[in-house]
Amino acid sequence: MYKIEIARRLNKSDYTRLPKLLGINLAFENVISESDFKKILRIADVNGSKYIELYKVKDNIDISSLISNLKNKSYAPNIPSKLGQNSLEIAEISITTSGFDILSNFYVAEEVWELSSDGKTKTLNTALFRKVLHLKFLIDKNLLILTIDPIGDGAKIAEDIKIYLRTVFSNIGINFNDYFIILDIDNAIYSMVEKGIIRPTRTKAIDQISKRTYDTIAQNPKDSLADEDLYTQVKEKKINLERMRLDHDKSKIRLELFSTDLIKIWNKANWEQTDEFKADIIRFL
Amino acid sequence: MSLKQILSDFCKENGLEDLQCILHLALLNYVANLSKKQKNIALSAKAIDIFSGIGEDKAIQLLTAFSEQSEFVNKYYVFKCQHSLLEDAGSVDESEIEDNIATCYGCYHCHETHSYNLNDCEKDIYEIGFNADREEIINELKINGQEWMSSFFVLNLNENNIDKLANILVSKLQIHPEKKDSAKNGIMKYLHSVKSFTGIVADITGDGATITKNIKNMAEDLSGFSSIRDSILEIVK
Repeated sequence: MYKIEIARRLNKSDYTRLPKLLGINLAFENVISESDFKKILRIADVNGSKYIELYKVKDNIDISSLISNLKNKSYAPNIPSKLGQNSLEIAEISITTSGFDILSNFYVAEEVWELSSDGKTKTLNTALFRKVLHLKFLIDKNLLILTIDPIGDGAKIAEDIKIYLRTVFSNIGINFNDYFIILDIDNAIYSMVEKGIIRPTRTKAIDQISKRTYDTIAQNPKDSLADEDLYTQVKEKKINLERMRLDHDKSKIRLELFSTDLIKIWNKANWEQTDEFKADIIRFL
Repeated sequence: MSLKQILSDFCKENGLEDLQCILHLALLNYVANLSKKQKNIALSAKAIDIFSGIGEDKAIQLLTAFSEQSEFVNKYYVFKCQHSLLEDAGSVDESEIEDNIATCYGCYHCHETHSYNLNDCEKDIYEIGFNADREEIINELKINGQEWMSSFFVLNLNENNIDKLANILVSKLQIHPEKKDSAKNGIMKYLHSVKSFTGIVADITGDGATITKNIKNMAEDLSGFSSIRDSILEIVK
């Protein structure tokens, strides 16, 4: 179970180097102990393909009252599922001098295409998949970073995220909305485009007045749509962004911005790629 | 390896020595006239074929040779959605393909992530494209004086090549389409007069000033021919 879950989240070239990085003296295929697998899965859980949102602490709110409600919990992933679909369980709480981490997991039924044994036909089946919601609070920046596994496509998942967030914090006796407010990250993304850190490769936007949808796609993978009028209009908020695909050249990850406050990492990003991108967003907020 | 060397090797291997000059000029002109807004440009095999007449398959082979041997040209694949061959799923740079498996993260059509095994996927599920660094391509293909001479040596040998070069040049003229035929005739006449250029070339070992003067005269007549003209002016500076 652990092996499948790790391989589902990271590329083979990444998860096979984790045992050595974590001080486990075995090749990945020879790892057998559950505690070793947990160490590897902990890294896999917070990386890979994720949606990201950022929240800041509301003005005049003392975050220490929230932190005092937290109690450390060692990492205990819900594998295999002990609960039903959508039942969220906190897998880890870790409080440090720099902030706190809360990791929760739950299972969601998703449709998957499966190839027949002769490889000729595809059928659409339903399967349960474990999903992870990770919250990392940075005390020096007063900032909460939310990452969550893909639970659908596009801006509509923002509503689902709110439900999961409320559930996590109600488990620790806190009303999330009393403490945090979501941050727009679109301007940070546009600043990163101007600095040449990321390149827009698709822009889809809707003009609410004319009710026209515009969708521009760069076929050339090295292209940038930053010189397109559509990009400028979206950046200047003249028309509403639906989705914008972006390439982060240095970390080699593919991103997608939805509206103003939700971004997705499409690749199975490793820890170096994820950390670099998160640091970039925070730098340009 | 430089693009000039790759082009030269390619022409030798494919029996296209007579066309090397045409290809060189066609590529240079084509790239120089693409939008300057973009650092990265898409190179079209179809366009290269139109300008040079080598055929689209050969143009793809040439661009593939560039992508394999030069850091300034990249090959990429544009894949179709695995659920609908009418829709694009996305593009993947060749450098991102591992073990012949290409991954399209977040298909533009269905938003799923698709994997394609290049060893066994149908040919109609992808198209091949090439992108290049515009400035680097121009730098690498810039024609120096000696190459200009040797190119015309080749041209003088082949009537068909003169016709192709005339087509390239006339395509650059900002004139009414109806006047293009007469313009081509004029250019053909001019290029035939380059026969006298052979005489100039014969002077190479002798009077350098004569060569420069005559090339300069040609450059003035070639006004409006973009990079060819710029290349010549560069030589005679």
